[in-house]
Amino acid sequence: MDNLKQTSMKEEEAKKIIKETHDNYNLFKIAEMVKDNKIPFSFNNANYRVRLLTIKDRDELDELRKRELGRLLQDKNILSTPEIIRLYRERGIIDLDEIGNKIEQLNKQRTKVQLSLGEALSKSEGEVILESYQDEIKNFDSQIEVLETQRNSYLELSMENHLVLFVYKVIAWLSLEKKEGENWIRAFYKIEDFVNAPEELIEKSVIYSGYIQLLK
Amino acid sequence: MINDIRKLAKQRDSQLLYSSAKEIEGIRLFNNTIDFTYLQRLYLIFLSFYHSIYVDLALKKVSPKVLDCEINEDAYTLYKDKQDETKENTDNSPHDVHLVPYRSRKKNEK
Repeated sequence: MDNLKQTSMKEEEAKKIIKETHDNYNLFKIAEMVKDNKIPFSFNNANYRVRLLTIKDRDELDELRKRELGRLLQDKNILSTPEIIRLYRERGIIDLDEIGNKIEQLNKQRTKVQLSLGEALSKSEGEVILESYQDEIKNFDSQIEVLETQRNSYLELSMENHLVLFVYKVIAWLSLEKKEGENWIRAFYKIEDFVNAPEELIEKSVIYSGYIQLLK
Repeated sequence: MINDIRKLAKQRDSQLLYSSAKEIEGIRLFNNTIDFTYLQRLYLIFLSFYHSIYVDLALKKVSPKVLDCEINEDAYTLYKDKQDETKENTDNSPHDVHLVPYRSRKKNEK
């Protein structure tokens, strides 16, 4: 019995060490990404990087964004967020505005509990009091997450969401560079070539460009 | 990603670098000195966030349990910001603003 207990404890310790090693490696990767304003990576034995957009890139982005918006506005099959909300309500399926209001109310209640918890921490209150506030906040978080996921899933195909995804794609294309000899050049000169690139390369470009580009 | 940035900023090593970079010229947090990325700005926000908590811990203004979890950290910072806001709004100290120099005012009063 003692042997079993010892084996179980050793397994738990080993799992803990593995998790800590994994967490530390993740933090090391993040630290590497934070230390510069470019994120290098390799793919298919080639060196790539994503960098911030230049002013020329931003002009190009604006031009493409305007064109895409014009195209979307003329396509009657694509609905705007207010239209989607109105249609769902008129057909009695769901009231997305009401869900939005519920989320706002829950956030207000959550803030009140957060302030109580903050005060309790400043007064070094006991563990029981702190845990009860933490549980309340976690409860609010679960409710808010469910409602937000629900709302977002109904609005996923909206014109506005489509435009945001388009902008992310253009930013990824504009910020991706490939190393040729000693120089860094734009990896794809046409966006059509970028969208036909291997999925893993597109995915990395989109994720990393999202990390570096502050969307205003 | 945001959680990982928080964990990184919370580390003692990161806080030491942050404090040192503020005091000692030549110690830099980043390779670039302009054109900061979203990640870098987020990292700076969280460095300042945790620095503030560590200072309050050292001054015994808050329970050590504040660092037990992010819920505690966020709650305490929100409470502290609210307190600072309330203090600012209820500051009734007289604001003595005269456009006319004191000596001239005294002359005019006579």
